[in-house]
Amino acid sequence: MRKVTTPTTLYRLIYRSREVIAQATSDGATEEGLQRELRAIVSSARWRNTTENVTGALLFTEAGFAQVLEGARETVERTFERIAADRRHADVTVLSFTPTQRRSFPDWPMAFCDRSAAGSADVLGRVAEVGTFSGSRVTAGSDVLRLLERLVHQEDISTGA
Amino acid sequence: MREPWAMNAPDGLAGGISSARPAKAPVRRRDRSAEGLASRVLAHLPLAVAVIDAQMGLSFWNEQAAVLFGVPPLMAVERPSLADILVRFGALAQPQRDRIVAFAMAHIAAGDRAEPDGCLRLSLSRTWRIAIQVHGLGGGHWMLIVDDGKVTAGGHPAARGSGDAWLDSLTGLSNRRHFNEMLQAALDQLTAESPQAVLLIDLDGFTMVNETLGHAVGDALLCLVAQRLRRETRDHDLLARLGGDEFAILIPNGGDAEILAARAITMLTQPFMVEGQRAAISASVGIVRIQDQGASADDVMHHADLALYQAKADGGRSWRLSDPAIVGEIQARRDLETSLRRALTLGELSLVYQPRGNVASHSLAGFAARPRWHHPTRGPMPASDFMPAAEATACIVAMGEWTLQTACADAAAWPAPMSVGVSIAPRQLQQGDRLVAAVDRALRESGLDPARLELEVPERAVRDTAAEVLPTFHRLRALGVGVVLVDFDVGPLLLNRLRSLPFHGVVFNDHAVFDAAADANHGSMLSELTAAGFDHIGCCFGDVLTSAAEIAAVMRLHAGAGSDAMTAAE
Repeated sequence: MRKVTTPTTLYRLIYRSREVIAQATSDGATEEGLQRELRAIVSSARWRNTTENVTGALLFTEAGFAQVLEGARETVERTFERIAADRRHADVTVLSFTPTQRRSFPDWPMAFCDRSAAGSADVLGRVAEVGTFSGSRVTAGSDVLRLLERLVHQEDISTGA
Repeated sequence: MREPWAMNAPDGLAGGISSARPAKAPVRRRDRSAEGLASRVLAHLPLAVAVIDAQMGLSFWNEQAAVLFGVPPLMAVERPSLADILVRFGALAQPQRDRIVAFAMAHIAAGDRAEPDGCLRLSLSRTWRIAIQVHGLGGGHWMLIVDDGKVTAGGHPAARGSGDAWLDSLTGLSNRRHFNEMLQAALDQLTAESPQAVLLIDLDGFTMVNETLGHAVGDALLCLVAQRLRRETRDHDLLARLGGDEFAILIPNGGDAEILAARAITMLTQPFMVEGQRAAISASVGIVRIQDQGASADDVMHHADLALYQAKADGGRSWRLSDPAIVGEIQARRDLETSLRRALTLGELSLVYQPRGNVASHSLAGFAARPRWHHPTRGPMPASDFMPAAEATACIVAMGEWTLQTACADAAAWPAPMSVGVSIAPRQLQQGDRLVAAVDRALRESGLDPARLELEVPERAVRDTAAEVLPTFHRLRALGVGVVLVDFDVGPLLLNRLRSLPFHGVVFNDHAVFDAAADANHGSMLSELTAAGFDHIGCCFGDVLTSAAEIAAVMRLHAGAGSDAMTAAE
């Protein structure tokens, strides 16, 4: 429909959002319902991302979601449009959206780290405070990326992936 | 097939291009009230329209005319003459320009009520033909309609019968024409059991995206907006792009219009990733519930437009339901804004200067600039008659910028160090970046010494938002200009907060001064202010020149405060 200049450049997008699963689903208020929704989010993300060659990682804590998406610019933009429309989260704040030389999660259609992951609540709690100043967004974006890289890398070692 | 001339714009079009209904004359009947709508209709007309006066000066032209002639859209301060404009229309040969001028002249000679006398057809190239008609509009105005042949090459779009006549080519949504027809059809079938609603959606911040990221990103963003809105609507809702960044939804079952409006705003406020750029916009929505049988599509859209205007005026990112009870009030505010914009463009505003005395030395220290409106029908109006109402409209920002520019230019010609005071409206303070840029520009263009400009900030502008506007004050002070708090009502004095603001002066309102004179505590407060380092403590009596008696009252106060700093100006 429209002409894009470099739709295939590799881009990385990092955002955080507030979880509102309880409002969006009928049984999201229970722990069981929450877990079911999270599994659904991750499995559908993995399925789509595999076909679209998007990789990344998703972090979930009490403070909300943070996600890293990597792939061709156009695909990342399209994936983000789908994510932005998802009613299970709100107040989506993009922390960074930049071209990148390499993927941080080349082997992961969507790695998932939940509340049990060490240090995740701290980082995401800080990230949730991010205001509108671009400086702190950049810091928050790299905080999220570093944390997820560390967590996913640990998991790679422990599972032998 | 309808000839384009048969449209008889703007009356015929204002009700939508609905050939099935007899043309009413709603626009002309409430000419001014529908001015905004009419000018938008003109902007979407597939014809170039220009209005000329008896001297052939152009007083109005729509965007199509601007594109065709290569002149800037909308009104200009000067009225370029038709002949000058035609020179810029490169495709025209000299004899063709002369024919157009003669054609217009013949119509002007026939009077401003004359019916069009034929149609002037000119060939600009082998495939490009234009047709010109002149209509007398009355009131010393004639309208030139130029059909540049591009739209009508294959017949009128409505007559082409192809699918895309109903589709917006950018987003693939319904277009304005289709929306209007569907709305009219829905109105014709309206029953008490089937309430309808219209949402009129206008993007907040889209112009900024277009300007900063470019039109390609802007267009791509509009496509994403369409996609997000489509996701929120149901199959039986009609979603259309009316043009520009304006969308509309016709909801056959209008019960949940507010929910949809809130949802649409939420969705459009989420960030957009487009063409490798991050774009942040939001949306405002006007809602009309249609209950009246016999309402016209024109009425409905007009009310939706007023509700939208209200949502925008209240800061955007919100929806407003059209309320028949206050339609008149909003209309009045909107009319005022339209006339003020017009006044600015046509130079109906001027500045009057109130002398500012130095109380201690009984000498003239400078002047305070106050806008005066030479209203075309009501005559000269002082600032107090229109500024309070103007402050409720977005137009105040443009007016404030004009005042800054004009006052600085005037003051630059006064002997130094005579100062000029310019009022700053709360709305200007809320747009800090723009205000700082405007002050900077006014100073640069006039060459006025920044120390001679004194910005007057009313206390109510900082009462609840001091922290948010603080950086703006610091930036203004950094430019070297003075910032004075005016209309200061003593009341429970917030001296500490005053100290935290980078003002160099305080001007009390008259009421406060007289209260202060009667109250010893306030007297000591004044000395505290002096001790706090305010260079400038004064009193202002609105538009009335400070009388000797009043100055004396201030001076008595000054004597009580035991300081020499009490002057009405630095």
